[in-house]
Amino acid sequence: MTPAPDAPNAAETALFENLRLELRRGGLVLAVLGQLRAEHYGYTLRKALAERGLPVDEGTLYPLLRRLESQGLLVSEWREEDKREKRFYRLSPAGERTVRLLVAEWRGLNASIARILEDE
Amino acid sequence: MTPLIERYLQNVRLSLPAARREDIIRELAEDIRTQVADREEELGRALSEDEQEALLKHFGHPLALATRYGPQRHVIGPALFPVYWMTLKIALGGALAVNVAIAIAWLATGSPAGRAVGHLVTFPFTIGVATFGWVTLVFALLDLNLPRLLEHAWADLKVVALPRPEGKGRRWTLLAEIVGSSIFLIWWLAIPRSPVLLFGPAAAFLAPAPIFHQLYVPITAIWLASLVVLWAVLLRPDWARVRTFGRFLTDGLSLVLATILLRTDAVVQLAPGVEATDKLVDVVRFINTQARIVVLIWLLAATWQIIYSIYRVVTASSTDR
Repeated sequence: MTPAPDAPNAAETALFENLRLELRRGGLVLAVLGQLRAEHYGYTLRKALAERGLPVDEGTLYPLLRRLESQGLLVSEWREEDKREKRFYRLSPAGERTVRLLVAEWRGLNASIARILEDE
Repeated sequence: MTPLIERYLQNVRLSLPAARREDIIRELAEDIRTQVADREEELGRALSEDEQEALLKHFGHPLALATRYGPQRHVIGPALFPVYWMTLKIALGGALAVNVAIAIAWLATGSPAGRAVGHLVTFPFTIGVATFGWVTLVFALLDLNLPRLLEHAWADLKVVALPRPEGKGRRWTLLAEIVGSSIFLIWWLAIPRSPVLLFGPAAAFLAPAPIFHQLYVPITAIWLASLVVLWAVLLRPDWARVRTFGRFLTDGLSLVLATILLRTDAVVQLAPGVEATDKLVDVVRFINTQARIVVLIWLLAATWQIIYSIYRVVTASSTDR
């Protein structure tokens, strides 16, 4: 059985996968920051993101949370909930200001890309 | 916490930055516990080993996960940096020791003292810089490709096949071996074009004996094979048979090569066209004697390695898993 003439080959598929990940990476930071306007711990944050159509692996999410915290955008604390200790994250004041700027940037970018794609 | 999950977390812990290690593990453990509890409530029973395995797969290879916790991109990332630093110190120390030995050999064979001292004074700017460059280059390439290789290996790897928690030293040793072998291979492959890499300034009057040319390809092949085996051991610890067979094969062939070399009169001779003065003949004899001692040590080490491998295979059934 021969592949359809316009089907992507292996190199194109790999390239697409790289570009998709790159595109997703920036969006993921904004999604996490946006979701953390309300306090979450890792597990509920992941569930909340997945419910809104953005599933994230634990291996990606937890290091990202630590990185955002070290950049001063998040604050966290260990607290007990349901008799278990959990690490809760939320936006820091700097994080709140940054999210506002990023959201404006995102909307502008989104609108620009929508216009560019409509032109085609 | 089941033994399988404990084992996974221990493997992550080994490569985490020490200052945040416990905190990170505590958080990951809590997430896993919650996921397991949710799944068990859904199913109304305890999770099987396969189901735990599937859950852990989402977290990624332990080394890859730990690497993501380190600072962002450097030439050598945080996961490899400790072993890079250790290898660099060993390589520079080894290179210095060899060059001090060369300088002593020159003095012992009557060369002017200025030559030996000059060689040692220029060491940091010539061989030292080159050693630093090669070690760094090999580690940088390894670091660049490590995430992709780990991701590839992780797809089929069983958590139960991960090294035991006490295996940190073993993994660092393996990485150091891989880098050391790679550097050796680059050096070895460059020798036919640049004999100066083998003899240093003495390449002006020394040349490899015919046995060197006869054994060059077999030695290259064995070294390449042993490098492949080392990679297999690092990335796929569950390929026990490939590992055992590969090690036996490379150790056995090393033994054969060492035996052949030990029976050879000379590994070094005077370069063509060089007049055989008494002093030069003495130098060649001295080097060949030293080479025989090195080969003898190699033979003993290869023999010991085979005996140890047999011991490991025999005792594996009682200690594995």
